[in-house]
Amino acid sequence: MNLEIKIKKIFKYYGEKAILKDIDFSINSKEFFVLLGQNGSGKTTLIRILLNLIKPSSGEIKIEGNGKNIPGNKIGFLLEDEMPFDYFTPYEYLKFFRNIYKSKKNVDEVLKEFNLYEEKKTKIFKLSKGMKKKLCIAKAFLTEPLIWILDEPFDGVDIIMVEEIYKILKKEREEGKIVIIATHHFEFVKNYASHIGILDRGNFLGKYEVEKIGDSILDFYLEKIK
Amino acid sequence: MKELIKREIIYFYIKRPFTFLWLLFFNLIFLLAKGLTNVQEVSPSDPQYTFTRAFSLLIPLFIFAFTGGMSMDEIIHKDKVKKYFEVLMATGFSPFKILLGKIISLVFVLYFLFILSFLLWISLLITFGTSLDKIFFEGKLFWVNFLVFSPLLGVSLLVLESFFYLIFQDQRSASIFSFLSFGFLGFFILFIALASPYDFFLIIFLPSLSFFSLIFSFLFTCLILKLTPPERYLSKT
Repeated sequence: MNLEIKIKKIFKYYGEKAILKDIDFSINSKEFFVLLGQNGSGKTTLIRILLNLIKPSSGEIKIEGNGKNIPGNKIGFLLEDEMPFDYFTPYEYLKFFRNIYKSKKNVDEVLKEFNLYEEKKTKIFKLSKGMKKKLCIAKAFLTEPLIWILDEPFDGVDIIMVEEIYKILKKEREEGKIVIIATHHFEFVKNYASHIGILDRGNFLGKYEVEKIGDSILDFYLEKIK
Repeated sequence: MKELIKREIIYFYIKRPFTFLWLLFFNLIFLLAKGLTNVQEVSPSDPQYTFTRAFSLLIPLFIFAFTGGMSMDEIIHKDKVKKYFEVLMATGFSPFKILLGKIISLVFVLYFLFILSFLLWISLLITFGTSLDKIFFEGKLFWVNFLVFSPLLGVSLLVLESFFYLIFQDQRSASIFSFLSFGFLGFFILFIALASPYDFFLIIFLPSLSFFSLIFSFLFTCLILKLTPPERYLSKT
């Protein structure tokens, strides 16, 4: 399927304060797009707009597959600081979302795929932060999404888990899906991302192919936001 | 919707039996107040007679407003802070649907506990030697109001309260509302009870007030939710 996300002239104001200013770019099939920006740059607001949680003050977003709108349940998401329901077990949590998404995926198999099967009956509040993050991503996996939108998936997660999450998403991208990650962590971006976008104080500074960037994404980023 | 209600009941009450016991305890405490009005020997010619009967009709309303208010912080405010509300919205549920799921499950649990406590309370009175005649000395109309219309009035308060918990970032503003609205409603009902014939109060006033308050609270909530920007439901981070 030919996927495309078109972000057209998005502005977002809270009162008089502009949070996003004239954001205009698109993302296509098989792109692993990492949105880089400091805290407060507007990443979360843009992600919330992409997930239809809030409306832009002006501009529009189109998320399409072969020219047709993609339904919300085909977008796998992880919100910033999202945590799974802490009194559930991982099995109950995934079962809840499987029923909501009317997914046919087997919960046990998803738990195995994310190396969480052994914790199947453990109360979620007893799990590590990394495991909770993985569980939230596993929840998105149940929808069999065409597009992944993840906001700060690596906050508070150890480096081994970060790479594990990247590998799962890389596999998804190789299957033709779009992966969008908003983060301020630069580790592994070079290894996994196909494109980066830089957001600075509400301004979108551009979309760049990772292959064309030199050795250090961090140096490139710092140069751009100067 | 079925999944939302199931999630609420399992997550907030079955997974946390302490909450269940706590609510049951409060139900019993308030029903004891009803017990006190039962055992009081007040003559029908005494002006206190009408007041006592009307006051005992307010007990279910108070139980629903109080125990429901206690649960609001957990089921709405904390759900919002922990971003569970946002997750459900991103999954495709509208804020109204999520709120409705929460209210239905809360009312289901509260009414179940109310009836359970009511039965426990009757058993307790019988155990201590109170005769059934004395327990049910009020007519059928009283009990219909006590078991149906007064709790319904409590539900309409809960609907409004849940809405305030949802839109205010600071949950204290919402609890102030519930205290004020309960106080206002309580005084209004007692005033009407004292100023009008008792039959009018039981047959017309309380059932109509419950019915119209419930409709008003749902319509008001639905309308304001439509006008409220979704940012209000999201965590600040």
